[in-house]
Amino acid sequence: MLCSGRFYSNKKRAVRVPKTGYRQDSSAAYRKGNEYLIVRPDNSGVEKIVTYGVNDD
Amino acid sequence: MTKATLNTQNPDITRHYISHLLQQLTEDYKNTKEERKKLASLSPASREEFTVLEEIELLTADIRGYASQIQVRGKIEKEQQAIERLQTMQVLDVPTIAKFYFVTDGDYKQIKAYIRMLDYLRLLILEYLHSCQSSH
Repeated sequence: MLCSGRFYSNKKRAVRVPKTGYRQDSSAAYRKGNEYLIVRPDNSGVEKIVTYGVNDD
Repeated sequence: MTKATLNTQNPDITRHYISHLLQQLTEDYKNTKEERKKLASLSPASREEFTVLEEIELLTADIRGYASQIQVRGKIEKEQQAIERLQTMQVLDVPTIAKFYFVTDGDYKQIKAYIRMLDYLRLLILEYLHSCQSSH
């Protein structure tokens, strides 16, 4: 969770998928290096972390 | 055994089974580590779509989230909404996962076993919610 928090605070440098808006299931992913973060907006439109993962090399 | 008795017993058994499967899935996920590394290194991430691993991670978070609510509280917030959502979350209906599952024939056995178990947990949650509704 600490890692995902640090990642999220710097997410402006991350690649976002989709680039704008959300998928049909309201999710979006941020990728940076080998880390990724999946978010969904809450009722107020604020993005909340759903899950965080690391692709280990 | 009457139908009424069955209806009151089944949700408890299913709830216990869901708890057991949650533990099993944690172990199964650990067993996919090497295959996940391989998959991440071989599959370049598209800027348009989620990767297979991202799709699996999202489904895991959603399905485990519902299962954990049942494990802890025996119920799910907004039950009907959860049922409708779970019904649309067939794992192999996700194009990226279906393509991975059927195209990589014979490879990634641990990840594929994990995907099947995750979908089984989804169905079990639905069974639990339906049996709770019919016993009310």
